Amino acid sequence: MKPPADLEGSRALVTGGSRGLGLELCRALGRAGARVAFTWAHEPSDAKAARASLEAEGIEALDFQGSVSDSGHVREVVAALEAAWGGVDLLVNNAGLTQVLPISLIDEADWDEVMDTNAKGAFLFSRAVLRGMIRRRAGRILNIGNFSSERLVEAPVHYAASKSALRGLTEALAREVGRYGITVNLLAPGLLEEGLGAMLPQHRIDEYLEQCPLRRLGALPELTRIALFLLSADAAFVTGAKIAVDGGV
Amino acid sequence: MKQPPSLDYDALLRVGYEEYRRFVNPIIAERARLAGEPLRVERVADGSPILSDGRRIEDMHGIQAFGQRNPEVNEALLEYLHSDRPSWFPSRVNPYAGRLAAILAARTGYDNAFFPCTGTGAVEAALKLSRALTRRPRILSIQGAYHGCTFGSCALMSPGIFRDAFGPHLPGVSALPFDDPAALEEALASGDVAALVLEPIQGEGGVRPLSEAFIEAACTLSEAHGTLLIADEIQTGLGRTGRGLLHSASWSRRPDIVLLGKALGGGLVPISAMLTRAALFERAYGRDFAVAESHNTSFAGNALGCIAALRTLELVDEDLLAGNRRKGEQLRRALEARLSTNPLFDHVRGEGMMLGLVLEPIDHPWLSFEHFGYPSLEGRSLVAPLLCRRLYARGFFTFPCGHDWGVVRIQPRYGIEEEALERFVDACAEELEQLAEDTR
Repeated sequence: MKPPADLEGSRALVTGGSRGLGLELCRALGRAGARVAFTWAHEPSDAKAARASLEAEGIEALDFQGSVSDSGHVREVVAALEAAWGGVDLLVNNAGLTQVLPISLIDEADWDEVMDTNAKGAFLFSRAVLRGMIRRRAGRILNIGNFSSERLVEAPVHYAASKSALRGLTEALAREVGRYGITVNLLAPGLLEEGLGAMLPQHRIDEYLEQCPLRRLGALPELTRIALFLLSADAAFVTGAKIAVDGGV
Repeated sequence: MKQPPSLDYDALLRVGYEEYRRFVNPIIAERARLAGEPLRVERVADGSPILSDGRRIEDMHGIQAFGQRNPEVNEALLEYLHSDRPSWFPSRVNPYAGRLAAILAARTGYDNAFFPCTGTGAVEAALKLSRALTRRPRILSIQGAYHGCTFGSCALMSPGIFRDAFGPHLPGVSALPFDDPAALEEALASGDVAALVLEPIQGEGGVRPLSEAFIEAACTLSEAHGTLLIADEIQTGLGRTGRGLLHSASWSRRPDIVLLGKALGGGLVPISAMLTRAALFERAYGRDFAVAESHNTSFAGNALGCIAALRTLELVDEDLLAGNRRKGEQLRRALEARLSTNPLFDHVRGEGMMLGLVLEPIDHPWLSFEHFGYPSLEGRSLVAPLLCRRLYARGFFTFPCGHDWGVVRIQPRYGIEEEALERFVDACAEELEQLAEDTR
């Protein structure tokens, strides 16, 4: 499937883009001709490797280190992109954090960290880029949620709560900024072959597969193709949508 | 005997706001809730309200010019309340009103007074006095005026939410363009104008001072054409601008009628004053007993109000006036210095402790009434409401001018500490910077 042609030259920011789905989104956007920037929080080696892998394909990406829940970092990133590019057209709130813990082991600090990264980070980055998007009356925001906000599944409660918050943010923001031609959508992946899917014990994978009509885990390109569609002009009439890509769990 | 319901304040705080919403004004209650305004004002300390979470609010509305629960006014009222003195005098020859009028005569030169309970009550009294005196039909106000909300005052009002719904208005009333001596001259030349009503500095109109040239023209032309000059000093009086007990005392001709209100009762008791000259009163109402009280109100000159006013007037001395001039000038300069580089800042105007922070309109759709879901307010400036909201969260209660939402009205209590004014300037600078950042 060809990437949407209208992404050529657009200005894209992906949070948490140094690995996993975030990196694949950067790659897909770069291949589609978008200018790409990503944020990362912890591992310089991951960021370096991400840059190298993108450069290998001729994609020159800007990157910024910092926490998505740090409003100062958010301001700096968006200000830098406005200075470098003149604005941001596409925002992918991908940065996320999880801990696979039962509620008995979730401390208050764990709750705060997961909520700050997964929900507050999306709020801060959305708010920061919207100022320019609203002025230009154009823009796309894509929130990367999780199927746990769409299905009744066993998931860490703070993680599920944060992803449900992201769902609410998506719906309310879509309503608020639709008048400016800006779309806000939620992509809710199920278990993938990479990321969390690669870390879970086998019995949890088996449980997932039993619930999944398609009887398999997802693959990154299956996510990125839908993400690119939601970021493209083809999805101009799609907003407030929650698309679970989980094999039908 | 059945006991009256307790006025325990804790209980009142719990239920009173909900009762206000249900039984007084649901829209205002909703606005305050939506804006996240602090509601639980638990007590007063050193002249300022303290919230239930311990935060102090510096109230810059102006009505509490002497600080909330001013201890000296409080004490004077308590002394009266603990006595067995009458609360009302059946003959209406009220010794408290007499004493207050005599003190005001000594301090202002106006030897006749009437004491209603509200500022707009004083305006009504002045309008009726001017009609009774001159038998002329017309009354002039100035565009941007705000003199109160009763029907006569409303007729003087600038068009907008305070006026439009209530027509038809008092006939013969019209507004002159702001600060336009030529228009004034033309209007007065007809010889049918009973009174010209003006605020030396328009409050709700945007803290707009009338120019010296216009004031001079008003003084001269009103006398030449036999029109009464009425100075509404409900905002500027009682030392607010630092010029004197009356701001207009410095004019080349003293107005025929001056109006006081707001903090005249020390912020504790509602009382206002219409001051004029005995000769004018006698010409209007001195013909016989029947007309002597043809304008009156039941609680005019009530004991409680007069006692509060008598004690309040003692507080307005030369030291207070000098302090208001000095602090006002410091505040103005500090605001200009700290805000001058902010793109939303225009200028500071006003005098003494009555200042207006004039702001540029916000030019971003996401900070607009349309975006907030109030398209009927589209076109009105949002900058002052937004800054006031932010300042309230920082502990400073300021508010947008009623007719011009591009201006923040700043009227601190007279006793405000310089350190508090410095904190206020810091808060203004930081919050306006954030607003500017949000609109880039």
